[in-house]
Amino acid sequence: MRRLFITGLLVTLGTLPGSTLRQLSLDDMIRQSTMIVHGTVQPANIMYHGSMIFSHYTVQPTEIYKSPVAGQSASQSSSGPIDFGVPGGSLNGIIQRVAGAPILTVGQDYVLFLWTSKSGLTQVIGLSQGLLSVITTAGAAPMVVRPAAAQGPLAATGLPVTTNDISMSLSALKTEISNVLSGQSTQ
Amino acid sequence: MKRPWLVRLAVLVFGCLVMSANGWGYYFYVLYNTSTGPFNQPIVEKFELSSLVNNTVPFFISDTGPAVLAPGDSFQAIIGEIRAAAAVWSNVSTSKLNLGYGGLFTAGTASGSSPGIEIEFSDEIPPGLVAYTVHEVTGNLGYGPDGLIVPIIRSRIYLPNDLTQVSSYGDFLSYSEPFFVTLVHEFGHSLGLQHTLTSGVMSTIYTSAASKATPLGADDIAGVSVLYPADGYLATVGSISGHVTRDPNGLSLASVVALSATNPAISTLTNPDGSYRMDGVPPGHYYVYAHPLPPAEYGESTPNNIIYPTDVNGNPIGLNYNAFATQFFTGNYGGTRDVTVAYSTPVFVGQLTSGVDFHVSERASQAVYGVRTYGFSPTNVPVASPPIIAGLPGPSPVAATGEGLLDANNVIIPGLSISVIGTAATASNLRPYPPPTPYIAVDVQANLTAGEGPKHLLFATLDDLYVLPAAFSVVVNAAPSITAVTPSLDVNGNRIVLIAGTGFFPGETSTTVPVNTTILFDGQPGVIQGTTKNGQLVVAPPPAQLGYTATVVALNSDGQSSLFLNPTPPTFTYGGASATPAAVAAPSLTVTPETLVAGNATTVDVVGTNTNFVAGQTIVGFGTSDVVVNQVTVLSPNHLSVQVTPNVTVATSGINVTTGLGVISQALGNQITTANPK
Repeated sequence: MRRLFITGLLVTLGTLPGSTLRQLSLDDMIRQSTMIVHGTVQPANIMYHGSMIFSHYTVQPTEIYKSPVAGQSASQSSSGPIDFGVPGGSLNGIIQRVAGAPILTVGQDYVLFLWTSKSGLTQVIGLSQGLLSVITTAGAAPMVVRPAAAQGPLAATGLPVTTNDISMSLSALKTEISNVLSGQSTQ
Repeated sequence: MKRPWLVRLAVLVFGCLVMSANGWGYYFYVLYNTSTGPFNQPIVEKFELSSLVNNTVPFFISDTGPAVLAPGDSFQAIIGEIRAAAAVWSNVSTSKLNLGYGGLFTAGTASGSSPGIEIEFSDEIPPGLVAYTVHEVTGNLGYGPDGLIVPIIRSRIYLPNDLTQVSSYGDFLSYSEPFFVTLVHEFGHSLGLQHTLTSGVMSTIYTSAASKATPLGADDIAGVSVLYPADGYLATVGSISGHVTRDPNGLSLASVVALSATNPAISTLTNPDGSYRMDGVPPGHYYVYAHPLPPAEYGESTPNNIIYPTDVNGNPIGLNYNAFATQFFTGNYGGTRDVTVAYSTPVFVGQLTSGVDFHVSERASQAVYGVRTYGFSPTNVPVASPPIIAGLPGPSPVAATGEGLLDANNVIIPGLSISVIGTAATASNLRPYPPPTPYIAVDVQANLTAGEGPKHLLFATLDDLYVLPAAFSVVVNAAPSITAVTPSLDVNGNRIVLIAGTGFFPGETSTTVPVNTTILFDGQPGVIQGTTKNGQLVVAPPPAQLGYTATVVALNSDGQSSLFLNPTPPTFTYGGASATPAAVAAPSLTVTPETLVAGNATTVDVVGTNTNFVAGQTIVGFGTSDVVVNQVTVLSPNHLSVQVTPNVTVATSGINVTTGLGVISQALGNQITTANPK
């Protein structure tokens, strides 16, 4: 009996927090994001929001999997660029840096889980947690992976420093998003 | 990115003929003054204390407070916990740094032009994030007593504005362990400390052993002490230096850890050329090991969310390896995964132990990483890095979760073994939890010779090693428990609180490591005056207004808390349940002069109505770093004399008078509300 109880507690502890970050499951991100977008990013401008500097980017959607617009269906394509901010940047001689802020590669194909605050500022959910790279390999289905370290110099082996704690086909991700949003997820 | 420091550095660097240090225990925010190397002279971001009065960095709290509080919580309680978290860093005796509460400020307006720390409550914190801290620098280099630095001009700590919707916490209660540890962690960032991997408060949660009772680990203490050393500190500790190489090159951002059975872990990261120097190491003998940074986990943007050092052009210098096999130093080039044959590296006061070199082999990935341990209190409250009572007849289960312990079917990875480093404690009966719970467990037993304090676990695989410092802690007493809180008065009519319970050690010295109990009221300590015949603690609570209700928590210096047994703490209401805040006359202040003139040392006279100022407990702040409070003299319970030096003309700032948990905040010349400290 005690063992069962402990097991129950441990399941709860599986989501114990970081002092800063709390791990979001894929389903958490699907539910708590206000928009899920597939597209490439371009830098926009840098501006203050309150006392914080945010570096803004735009993502040009190739697909929208979750929309904040009522009645707009998932996988609806075509939209104008969507603006979002990444905390930190340099503006008017002031430099602000935030550990864990998403590091974006211009032109890279991403699936972005975005979240819009009450003030209207849109960010990647969970700092970098909602940033998934879309990897396309010739002859294979596109994959989405959560990129790991920003790339420093390559190792002597030529291998990048990377880990992928989310790795699935793009189509599987779309299915999961659809299932979660329709309440059919089994996760 | 434009880097003005490039030009300024060229001017300044010639004057920096002697760099104070080229490494440390712990890890800071780093710049190198070159783009081509050598990369062995890091310049760090820090507050320039020599420009501040009494080495004090002021901190300010947004006057709005959180928009939504957890049930039963209060802004005053949050202020109390924030002040307590700041005091954790101020109380490090080997550091000259002080953090001084400067009162409330209006978020969105600058809290002054002088350096300081602001705490804001933000609606811009997305799900998946609890809090974060931002450094603000100009990129200009400064040259202070400790050499070249990048001065921090302001740090900002952002906490959630809605404390009922904090990611998966739900209610984020001010008295809780996570709230307090988060505050201490974020204050550490604000001072210039980055994440580490040695289970201190600056570890990410995946390996943190920090608790409310013992928030700082040896690594945290070494880090802040090396960054802001007290006079003479560096002459009381030693240093270790060496290289981590993989033929023929040095490895950048490899972690080197000095560990002993009696001294918890202290660590540093290598420079881009593989060199390292770990200062702030207490004298003694250490097993020194090198291990790779783990891969970025769960959406971290870099391994361990380290902000990479930059070269003089602002280019980040990251890792140049995937992983390598962790190894202990053996005194020669080989290295070992067997701690029993590792070299016991001596560290002497004021001396450098050099040549502690590692030659490592590349691996595709690290076998085990990111492990955290848990145990359970007698009331089944889960506790990270749990206390294990020495001398118990049977073992205590310790659960662990992390990468590389189990396969996809919840089967323990072949060859995995777990052992305890260097103590009379054992770990046995390794087993998995039933699927799908991704945990393992071992039985840990410590005998009476194990020695109190943090103990370290080794996770050995067939071809790799993972070391978890402070995986558990050996104690000799059970956790404190509060069973009743009773208001009373002493013979002089002063308010006291009788605390009934178990596991209290007021001034206890009978154990190897003396245990002392602290009683907290919303984070602020009461004064233990003695014990009654039946063993209750007699405690003078910190001042607060009548009708104020504070949570009461007991902490023991062995790291244990009454929250281990009673996650929902008892409360104490000042004046009893009938004393509601609405029934109490609001305090107010009359302040003369109302306007402070720049550059003029001024005596501010503060006359209170319905106040109870207490010498040594009354703090005055003006909500801006531009007004330095030099001295506060309590003339009577209703009269203060405050010596200030304004740096700029301040016509509109407010004044904040804090006594214990009582907070009075009002604009100068424009009286407003609040609490009546009695």
